[in-house]
Amino acid sequence: MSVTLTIAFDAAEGTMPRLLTLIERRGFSVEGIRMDAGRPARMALALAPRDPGRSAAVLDRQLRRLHGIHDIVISSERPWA
Amino acid sequence: MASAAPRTATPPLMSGAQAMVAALEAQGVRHVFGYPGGAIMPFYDALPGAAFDHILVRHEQAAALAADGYARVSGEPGVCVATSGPGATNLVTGLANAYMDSVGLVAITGQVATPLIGTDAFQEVDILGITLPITKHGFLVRDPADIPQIVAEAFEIARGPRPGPVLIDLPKDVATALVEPRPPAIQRAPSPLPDAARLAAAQALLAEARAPLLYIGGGVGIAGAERALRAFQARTGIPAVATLKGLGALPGDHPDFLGMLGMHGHRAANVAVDRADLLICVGARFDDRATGKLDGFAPNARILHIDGDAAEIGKLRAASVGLAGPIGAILDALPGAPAPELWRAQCRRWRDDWAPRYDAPGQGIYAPALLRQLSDAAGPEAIFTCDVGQHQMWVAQHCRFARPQAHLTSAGLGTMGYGIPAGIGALLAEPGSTVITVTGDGSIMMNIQELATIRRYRLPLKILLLDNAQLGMVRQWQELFFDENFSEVDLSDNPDFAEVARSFGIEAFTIDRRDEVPAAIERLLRTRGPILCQARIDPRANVWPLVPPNSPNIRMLER
Repeated sequence: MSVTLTIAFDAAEGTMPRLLTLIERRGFSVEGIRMDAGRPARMALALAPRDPGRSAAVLDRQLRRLHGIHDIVISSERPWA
Repeated sequence: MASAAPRTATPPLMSGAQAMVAALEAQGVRHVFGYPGGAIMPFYDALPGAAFDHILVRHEQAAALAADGYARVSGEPGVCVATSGPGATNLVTGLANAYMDSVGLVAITGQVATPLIGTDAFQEVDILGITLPITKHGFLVRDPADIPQIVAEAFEIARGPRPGPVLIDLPKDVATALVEPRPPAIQRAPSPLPDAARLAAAQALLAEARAPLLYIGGGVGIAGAERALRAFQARTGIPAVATLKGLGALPGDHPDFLGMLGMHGHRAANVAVDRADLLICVGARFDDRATGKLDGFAPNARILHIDGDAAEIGKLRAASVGLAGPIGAILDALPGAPAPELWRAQCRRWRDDWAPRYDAPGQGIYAPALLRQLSDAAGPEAIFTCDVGQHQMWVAQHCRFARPQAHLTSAGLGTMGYGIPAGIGALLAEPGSTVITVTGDGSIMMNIQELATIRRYRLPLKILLLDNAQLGMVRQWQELFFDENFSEVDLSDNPDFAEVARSFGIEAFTIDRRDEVPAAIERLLRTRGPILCQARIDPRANVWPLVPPNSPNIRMLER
């Protein structure tokens, strides 16, 4: 089941690819992205787990460890739909 | 009378490289491990007169691994430096090693000048991009005035609460530009205790348990929570097992300590995990080498998971109660409950009944016995650094450690070539300690050039080379799981390692009989300078017990 993560972050050099690298490596495919380059920047990502063992809640905590992450909201909404 | 014009004090301008050196000094750095080259030359130009020592290694990978060993022993981030391109990529294994084992590291790499970035310039590589998945964070310095802030942030991120490597990529033009550095401003976020309701839920689990077991990981040492863990264990009497990185959190000879669990764990430890009804996971992460087949791990147990990193709780095994925060403070806040005496006595019986035996037949050197004798002779405070393979598991099984910092091993990444650089780092972090590197004839070749570093700085590293003329662990797996189809594991054409060591100016000798072991240990420990002992062992020796891949830990193969 896909989820949407909305991440507020400091858009420093390298932060966005770091976010995407972590998300894919931790077992989620990115099905959609919407970005608002404010301060902080906001990125909404539609994600689907690659196997049933992957949890959005665990991914949320793994992303929060990254430097410059302000907030993460998990929802089932698709803001670009 | 002429009036003097008012004068304002202007801070002197300095180059970006000088600002980098000053920022490292401000962090209290005492040693930096590195290797110069084109794009990092401004940094090396600023180095003379620095308040820290630069250790010139002979390969950048060794710089990162030595910084790793330094950090594990000192408790402060290690620092390594390399130039752009191949210098930077040679750091990658060391950064991954530090990332997997949660070791604080700050890596400084030279980069081509800013206008050349992205033009495929000579020795240009996107090291920030390459290291994204194996660093906690990375900085590409664009403005030299930011250097103090970036360095301060890098150290803060590297320190924790869960430490890890941070990269600072320094373009050459930024390093040479003159600047008035801006002072750093760092805000440290406190790490709060879990709320009272969670602590109460954890206490209820402890009170209900009939067969509780502590499952100790490397997070205890990282958090400096050994005192709290030992106090918790003492007031509850709960038996304990440890991961490879958790060894030393409880003393190896503690009567309630059952040893390492997992693939090459002690039978007592794996059986206790299987029978436990409450597993108190403290700073461990349910790594596959520890759990074996996850579905069959601790099948009867509820999980109380305590960790400094909230992301580890529930990652692989759901916790009945998860407590994220400062491990020591959490343990201090849990009164616990006495372990039932029947369970505790049963665990002690398992420990005694299945204790390792050291009476192997024959006159050849039996590696487990040699290591046990060496550990006993060196004392529990001695620091062991390992390479990767059979000898690494034998060290974990048969040496005893009084503290986590006494056992430096590449646990997560399994980096062959770790042992000697880590030994260099350990000796510089704790110059008064006995530091012993245990290596194999496969591993030593991965960073053998660092014998030159040992010689240059006259570091009294004691190297025990267990030489079976094989890639022993691979050979063991081919024997057991690949129908004895031995493929590319023969290293019998290795050089004479004692001669090699002597050619680097290091004292060395070789033994191949059991009756030579006591004198060899005495010589290793007595010699003041660096020394290498090559011990030839049986090429067919295997590490036991062994849990076959994808099996529950209870299905151990024995000799």
